Amino acid sequence: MNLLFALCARNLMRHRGRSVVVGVILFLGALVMTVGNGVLSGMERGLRENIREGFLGDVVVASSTQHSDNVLMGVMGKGIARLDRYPEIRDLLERDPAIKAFAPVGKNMAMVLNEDDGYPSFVYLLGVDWSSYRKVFPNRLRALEGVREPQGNTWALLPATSRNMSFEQMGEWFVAKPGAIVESTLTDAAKERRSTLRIHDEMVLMGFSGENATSDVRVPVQGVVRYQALDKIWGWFALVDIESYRRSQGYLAASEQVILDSGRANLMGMEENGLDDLFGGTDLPSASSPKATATAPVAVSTESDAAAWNLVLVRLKDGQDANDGATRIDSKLKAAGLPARAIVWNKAAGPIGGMAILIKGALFVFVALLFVVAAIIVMNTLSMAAMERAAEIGMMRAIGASRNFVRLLFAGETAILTATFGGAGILTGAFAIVVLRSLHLFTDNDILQMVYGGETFRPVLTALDWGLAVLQLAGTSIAALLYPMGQASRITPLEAIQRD
Amino acid sequence: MNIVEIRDLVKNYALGSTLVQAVRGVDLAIAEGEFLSIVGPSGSGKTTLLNVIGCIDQATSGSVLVAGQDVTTLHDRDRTNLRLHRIGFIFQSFNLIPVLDVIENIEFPLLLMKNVSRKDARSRAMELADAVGLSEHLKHRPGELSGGQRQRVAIARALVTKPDLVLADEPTANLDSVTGEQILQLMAGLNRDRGTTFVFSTHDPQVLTYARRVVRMHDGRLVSEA
Repeated sequence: MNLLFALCARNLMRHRGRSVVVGVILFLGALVMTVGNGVLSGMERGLRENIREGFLGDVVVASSTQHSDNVLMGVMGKGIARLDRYPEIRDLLERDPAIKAFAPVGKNMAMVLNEDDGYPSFVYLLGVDWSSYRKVFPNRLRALEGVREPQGNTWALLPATSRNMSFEQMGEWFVAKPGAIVESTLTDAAKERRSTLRIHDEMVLMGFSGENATSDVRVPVQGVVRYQALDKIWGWFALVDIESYRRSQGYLAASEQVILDSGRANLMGMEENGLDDLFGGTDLPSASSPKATATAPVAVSTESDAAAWNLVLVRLKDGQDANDGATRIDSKLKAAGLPARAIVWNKAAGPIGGMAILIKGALFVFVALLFVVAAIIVMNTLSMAAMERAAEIGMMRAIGASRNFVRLLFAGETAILTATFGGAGILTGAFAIVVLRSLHLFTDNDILQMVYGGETFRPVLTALDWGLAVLQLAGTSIAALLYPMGQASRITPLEAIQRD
Repeated sequence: MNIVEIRDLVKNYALGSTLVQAVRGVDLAIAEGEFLSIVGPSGSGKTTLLNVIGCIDQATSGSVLVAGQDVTTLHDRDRTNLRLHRIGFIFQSFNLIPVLDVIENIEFPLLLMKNVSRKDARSRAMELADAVGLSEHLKHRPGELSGGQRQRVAIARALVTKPDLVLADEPTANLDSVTGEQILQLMAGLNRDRGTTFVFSTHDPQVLTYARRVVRMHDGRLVSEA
């Protein structure tokens, strides 16, 4: 082994020029690959964190009748199933010690009706109870116009992305109340039509799904907002109060619920909230009973219709595995006989969840192509080396070196080059990742945010990346080595003598 | 006892579209301890004959027994083993490994053997280096040696495995007459002292004065023996 190593090392030194050429190729390949892997992992992690921390949570609870795991962006018009028996689900989630927080939401598509008899537009609606939603996803919005913290019971926070799309589709420019244009937020298209711009500070929303497209609701736009990160994705989702959402989807809203106190119930001859008694009882209201004069005041309650949610977004405590969490919650839901199921975030996010993996796959193919080119160059160089050294190799074979010894000689030389230069490339790449990460490069550019996986560029090398880098490097070296090694091992002593 | 027995050896090879008959039915027996020279003009088939005996080239027909094994039927791996353990080679142009120094070049074949320790290999290599007068140049690389010194290294390397047979193809061809004489004296001494069988191919008349047996080849055939 010592002899082999000495031979390999000295041969590399003897043919310095060639060694450096091969080494530089391996170095650059390993460097590009390592940095690429680090950027991709950072992007993947950033996307993951932003999806989990900023929008979906770690686990999504949906109705058991919800067929598709993808609850984020499904086929247009395909609604998310209604989640029944939410209070029981809430109680179950509250008892789970691994859950940090959760927020129920209504989530479906709606048409934005055109009040000027034109085409409508579409928007994904996220109906939320603001107080619980902001606890789970704090500080995720930035107000471009109006407010980012809605006031009152009826409101909409419209992302600029959705606003711009609506403008393109229906020609109406939505602004935050009280209806003033903010010049700096006008798009180029809006600026061109500035003088004739039709401005609205209220939206008329109508549910748009297979189950419903009948109810419309007018909602004041309290803020035109931008999501802090990945606005290109989340910007399609407008936040509205849950009551407006429910009405837009045709669900029973609190304003439509009549809550009777005992006196009024007696007047109607029924038990409190016992609507069935209206049709089954025999007692008539007595003359002494107070006269029913009005319905109960409207109260926005998250329990006004236990069925009027679609999803519960669940954040797990730090260190909890999302898959394990989803499995555990799912088991509990089933054990409790509740008509709901738990979906892990990356499945719930549908194509968005898999986007990072897809991009990573695409870049992996790019890096692999790079390595194919590198492998061909290295193979050609090694092949020429084998031919140049035919006399030396043949002589070794003549005095008793086996074919395997020749193979090992070539493999050893390549391994030393790979370990030295490729290793240096990986380490340099890792250092570059550390430097890039420490720069905290910030962007609010939508496209760059996709590459960064968020607002800040945070490339990272995971253990998997290190392993992958070593494997890719080793694979390239082996691929480059096979042909020249075979070629060298086939050199016969006779060939060497004839060449000599 | 014969270390080499050749019967009706034929070796043809193609040169473009022409079939060259390099060896045409040679019969030859070489006894252990012989100091044999194969002479003849260029193209007479000397080197081809040596290559076949040394398992470097394969016969077209006939049989070649080296140390009792018919090399014409051996697998490549077995021929390699035979070369390593039973045959030593000295080439015309020295053929040393350029990145190894003198002592490493000499011990190289021993290190290819699985049953020789590094310590033993070094010890035997030192002994041979001393025998060929290279003790002062152990750490020199081939590029730092004269032609004669390099050929001494080649001789030491050929003998370090204690082979039954040493094949030397024109060992003095690239040496001046004085150095050639020294090399021949060295090989003759090793043949005498150690009983190693030497077979030369040469057309150097100087070699003939040392050879105890000379066979002459012409057009691929043995034409005379003295």
